[in-house]
Amino acid sequence: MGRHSQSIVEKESSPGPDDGGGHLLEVDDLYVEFRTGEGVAKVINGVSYHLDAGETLAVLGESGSGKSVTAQAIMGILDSPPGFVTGGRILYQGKDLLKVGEAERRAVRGREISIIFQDALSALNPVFTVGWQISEALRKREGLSKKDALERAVELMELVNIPAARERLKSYPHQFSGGMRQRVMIAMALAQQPNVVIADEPTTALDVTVQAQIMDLLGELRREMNTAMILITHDLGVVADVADRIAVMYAGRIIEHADVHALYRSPAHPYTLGLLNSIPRLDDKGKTLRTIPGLPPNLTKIPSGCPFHPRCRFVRDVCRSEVPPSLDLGGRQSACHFARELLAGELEPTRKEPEL
Amino acid sequence: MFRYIIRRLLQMVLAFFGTTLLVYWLMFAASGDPIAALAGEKPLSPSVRQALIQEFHLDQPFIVQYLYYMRDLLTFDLGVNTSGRDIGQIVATAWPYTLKLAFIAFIFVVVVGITLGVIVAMKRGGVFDTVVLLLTLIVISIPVFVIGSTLALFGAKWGLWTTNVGGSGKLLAYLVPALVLGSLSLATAVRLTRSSVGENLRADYVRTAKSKGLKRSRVVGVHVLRNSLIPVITFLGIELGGLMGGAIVTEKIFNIPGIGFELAKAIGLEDGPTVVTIVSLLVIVYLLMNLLVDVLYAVLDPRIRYE
Repeated sequence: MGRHSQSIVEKESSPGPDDGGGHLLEVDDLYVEFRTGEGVAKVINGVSYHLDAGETLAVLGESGSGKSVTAQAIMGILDSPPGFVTGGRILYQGKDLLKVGEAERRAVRGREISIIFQDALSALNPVFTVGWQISEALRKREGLSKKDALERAVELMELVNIPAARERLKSYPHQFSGGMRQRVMIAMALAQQPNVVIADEPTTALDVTVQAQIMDLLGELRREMNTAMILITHDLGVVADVADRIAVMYAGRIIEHADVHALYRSPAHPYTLGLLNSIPRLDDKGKTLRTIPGLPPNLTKIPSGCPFHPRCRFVRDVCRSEVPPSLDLGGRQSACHFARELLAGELEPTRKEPEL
Repeated sequence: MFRYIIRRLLQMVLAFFGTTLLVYWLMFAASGDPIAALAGEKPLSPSVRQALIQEFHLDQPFIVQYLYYMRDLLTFDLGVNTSGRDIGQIVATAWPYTLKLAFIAFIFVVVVGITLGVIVAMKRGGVFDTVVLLLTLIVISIPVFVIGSTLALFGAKWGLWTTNVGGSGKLLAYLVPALVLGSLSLATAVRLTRSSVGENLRADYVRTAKSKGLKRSRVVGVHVLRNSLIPVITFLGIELGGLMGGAIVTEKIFNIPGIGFELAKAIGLEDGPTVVTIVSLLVIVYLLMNLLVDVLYAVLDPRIRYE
């Protein structure tokens, strides 16, 4: 651990996060589409969010809301074709990553921004030992000797609480349990001491008890290493303890953005309200689970106006025709025509069952 | 792993006896009077004939004859053929030619097959990909004897290459026959590599490797290739087993005195002992290559453990 924190300090002396006076990482009005045989799916439609050094942003949304695609666009690992970035900027330390060459882009990957994938079993290469995989970037990019790199791999494995790390160096991914594999994944993502870690649903593939351990570990490491984190999840329960701010995504847009407490206390978008209401509660024993009716929209045919309107209990005429702008509500934003009314508790539902 | 190999060796014993019994029985049923063949034009006296029948156990039931044969084979006594030549000698002379041909063909298949396969997998859907796929399809569809005869014809007509390799020691002479022999394996290897690399390029671990900031050449050359080659190497191992068993058609077209050539000759002459002996040896080679491939498979893919 000692050597580790030392090298972090060395790293801090490299150009600071405040070059250009902006945020450490900023996604600005990003558009991504997938061109497939069945048409063009508009997966990301003007997403903007930012991240400052040391903070944690949770990006929340259902499957297909575009949260992982945004992360892949940031990493520059979008499968292209079919995925194409059609607009916007991704600024890291003030530099637009979408404009730099491949070599410069590659220099950012892993070393500045790294990513933890959801399913560690498929995200790890099945035919190489975990020691080899964790140390690979250290050998190839940081110029460490094979021996030193493996030594660092042991340290990293100990850092993420893998027992008997040295003995497990030569094990293959399939020889680990799900939780241990995810720890390997985390160790790998931290190997090059990035400033930003994107955790793309890091606990989805795991048992509930293991989920809590992994989230605790992530929170702990983030604090110790002062790494900024983007936590992508569809699980509201996961984010409350870890995140500073939450961005809620729907149909490739950020529909609400607020700090964690404000959002939990009083959501400013009917979709967020629906998500919060659908968290099962212990005192609701015996009652039917509350859900948001309907399904997320088909991204090749996004509904007119507010994309959430077919599922919204508060829908008004204007919602069907006009795309709601992102309203600034003082330190928080909501893309709902009636966000102010909703916050004030003055918005009446227009229906019980939404049109489907 | 050790126990697995032992078990496989025991299975091989069964397979060996099964195939040799089958071949022995086929030759037994097909050949006429071996004594008459041995005697040729010269008439035999009944007593000599009787002595020969005794010597070769021809009065015994089929299965006893087979067991006598196996006893000699397994004590490395390959015996003589119907014209009195030492079969061991025939095999020892012929096999080096076959091996030379097989290894050149194999190098063709490995180098060209894998390289082309990787290139077209990376450029999937492009013009080059389509052309290569079409060519491999054509090669797979045309029988080897057509490809062989055509190339031999071209070679003879324009004097491009020799069509009579004979006992030539020159490696160059083997190039075209090796290409003919390996053509089918080559086409299959290209297609197999292409689909395997294509599949692995879309795997999640590729994204992980990329996100470490590795160069594309390393992502493909190390991560993808190492995974993609598992099925390809398995295929190549079995092909090598087949190639080493000689190539009746190719060796005949280009007049290479290899194992396939000798086998074809022996079949034509109804030379039972030679046919059975050569086929038995080929079975052993093939079975051993198969075992080697299975062991290799476990070495290449750590997820595979034989219990």
